[in-house]
Amino acid sequence: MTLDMNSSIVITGIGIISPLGNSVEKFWQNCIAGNSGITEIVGFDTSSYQSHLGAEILDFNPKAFMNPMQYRKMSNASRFAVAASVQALHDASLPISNSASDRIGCMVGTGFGSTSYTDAFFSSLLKEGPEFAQPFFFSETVPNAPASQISIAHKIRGPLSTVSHNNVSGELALCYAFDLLKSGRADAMVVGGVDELNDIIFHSYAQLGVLSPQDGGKESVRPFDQKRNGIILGEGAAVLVLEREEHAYTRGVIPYGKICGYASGGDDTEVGKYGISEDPIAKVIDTALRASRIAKQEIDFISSAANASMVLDRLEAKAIKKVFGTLTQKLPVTALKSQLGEYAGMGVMRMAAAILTLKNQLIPPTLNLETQDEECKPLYVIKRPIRSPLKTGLLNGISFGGANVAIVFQKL
Amino acid sequence: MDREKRVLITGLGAITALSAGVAGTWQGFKEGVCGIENIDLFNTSRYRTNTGAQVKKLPPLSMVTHRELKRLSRCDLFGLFAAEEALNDARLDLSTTNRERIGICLGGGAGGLLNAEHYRRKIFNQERAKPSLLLSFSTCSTTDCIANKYKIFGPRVTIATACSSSATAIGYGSDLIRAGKADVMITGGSESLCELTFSGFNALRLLDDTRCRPFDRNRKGLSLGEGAAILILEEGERARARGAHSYGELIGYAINGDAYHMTSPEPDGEGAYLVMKRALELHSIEPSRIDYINAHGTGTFINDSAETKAIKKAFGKEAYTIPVSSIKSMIGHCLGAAGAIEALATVLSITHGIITPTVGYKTPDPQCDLDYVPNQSRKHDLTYAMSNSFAFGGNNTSLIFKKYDLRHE
Repeated sequence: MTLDMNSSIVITGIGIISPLGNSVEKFWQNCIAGNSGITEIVGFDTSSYQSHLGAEILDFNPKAFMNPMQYRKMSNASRFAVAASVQALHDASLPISNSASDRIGCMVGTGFGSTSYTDAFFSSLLKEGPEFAQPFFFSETVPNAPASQISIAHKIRGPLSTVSHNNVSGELALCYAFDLLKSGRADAMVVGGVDELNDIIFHSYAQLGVLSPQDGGKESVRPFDQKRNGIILGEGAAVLVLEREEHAYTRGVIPYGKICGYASGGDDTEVGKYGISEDPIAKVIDTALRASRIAKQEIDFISSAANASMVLDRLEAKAIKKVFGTLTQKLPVTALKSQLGEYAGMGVMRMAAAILTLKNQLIPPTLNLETQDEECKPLYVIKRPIRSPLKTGLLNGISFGGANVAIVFQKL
Repeated sequence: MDREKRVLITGLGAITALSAGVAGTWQGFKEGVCGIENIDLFNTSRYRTNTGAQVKKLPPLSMVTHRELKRLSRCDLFGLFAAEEALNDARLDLSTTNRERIGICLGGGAGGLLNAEHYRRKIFNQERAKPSLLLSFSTCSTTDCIANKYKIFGPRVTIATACSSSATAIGYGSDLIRAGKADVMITGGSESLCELTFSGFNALRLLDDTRCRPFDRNRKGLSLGEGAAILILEEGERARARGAHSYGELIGYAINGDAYHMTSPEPDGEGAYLVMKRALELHSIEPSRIDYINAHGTGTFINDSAETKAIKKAFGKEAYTIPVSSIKSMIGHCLGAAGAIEALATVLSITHGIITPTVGYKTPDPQCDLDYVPNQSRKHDLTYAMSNSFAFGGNNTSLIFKKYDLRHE
């Protein structure tokens, strides 16, 4: 096998199903207008909880993306993912022919896959007993269902896998796809990140005490704010088409940009908790920059992992300050979770937004930030959209349980 | 990526229905012991079968406190046990090692679902339930547990493709070493039996009502199992420099998708054929050099015939001379841990020159006409061996291992 180590990995297609719109155009318009996808939850009853908000997808019609025979058995997670993949492949003008199908792969990052089907299956077991448990639900309880459904929908026969690592599932899916392309195992990868919001997920997060308002105050998601009080859950799917540069150019496609490199690493913590020091996060950012051969002075903006939890935002702010030093004060940082809440596979949607940021030379704002936490200073958090010459960006992924990722990307 | 970098296996750890520990597990494999018996982890009275390969007893873990023991899931504990054994086996002195260069890549299946089920059942019965039961629900919980316990700071990632998870995790682990992202990777996977999985396979009518009989004409389905296996992968130069013992070399792997069906493999085994072919091609191994195939061999009607067809297609006439066996006949289908335990068995087969048998095999099936090493292990020198894993949704993985040959150093 001949390997071109220097081949860049480019992004040629984007697809989005989100609370801010079910197309890239609508999503971006809302994003840049500073609209929030967070509303009172209507999909299930939250009256017994202290929290009532979420970023739900309310106006999604699977029929617009696939035929009823296809989606009849699919969970929301799979429907969102397949719909976003239809958009992304169309955007990338990447038809999948029989001869090329084994050079095109699919990778999805998801925290939990279809928890609604998992719970529906287990509930039928509890209510009616094993004899009556519905096999219908079972196939969608595996986290690899969305990726498999994408591969089935488009007859993708190249490398297929699913990454599930808490809140960096999407980021790590991008990294694995990047590695597969870089080593020549595929020419193009359809990379998705998806999770669904439902009562069982909401219940679990509520029980673990991480949802806003942890302090009993106002419920909202306020990254880097001194009054931030926990996260708000969201849902959605984003799919990016990643491609080896020469493959894209041979097809005559102009990429949005490229992924320069990444680093991932562990933290010093325990299951379910964030780390105790910013050092491992700073280390990962630093390693990603070196792996990408990008100097810190070249970074024009940061897509932050901040989710308005007390610990994460502080650690990320300190890590950024540690890496970027005096550059920090003028380095724009934005937190998309202020508009869309957080879901485990959200990294791909954040990457999609970051790529659109480069394309439009416009950074979307961080909502709800009133008074920046002293401990999160001197971060330059964008409260209004900013137009600026942008070439290179950094995306941070930080998860409870101790996994950190940093991805460096660039406009071509 | 530096293809010249070699990836060696320098430590092994395992827990299965046969034994807690590599030695006992290997002994069982060698003797053809079947660990599939009645299970008592949950009430199976209303199922079509009550058999499975349950881990009998979990020995005490030196690194787990009493408090943690209450909070961690069965899956986490299996993983921690296997990791401890593997790290000790590799004689890696973590106190003097740069732990930013040690990463972890595990595959998972149901993860802490058993705990989540306890929780859900209590809520259903309107009883109080401890939220801490939900903590280990994430598939990556076991990965995080091990990484945090040993304070390793390198790449950390969890693969979740059900039955092929941990095979892919081992493959990806080797990629990360070859790409220079780590020098050592803790790879493998862990799985615990739980009611949801059991009832799912029960509802799909994929469970054998006695013990699974891979490749046998009267096979009726699979038997579920549980356990964990950890393989320490290490960059060749590093391993040699510290004088590490090596069990063998991971030549490489391939993954692909069937693009066919969510719960059924392609009847003609096309995807399985292509993944084996790709693994061979990617690493320039002639099919005739493969001396043994550790099969996915679940014991379901369709898997075993499709896999047989795929092997014949990938290896041509040679297929009839290559021993093919399924350790699932002894330890059941351990789902998220299956690929890792099978990789471990394959590596030990290479080390010891002994091929593990397919037990419970009685009646030949005209559809399955290869050499399945029935019922008794066999002495056989192996240089190259392949291990297959296929999963729901058509997620296929094929790993290739090689005997560690000092003369090449």
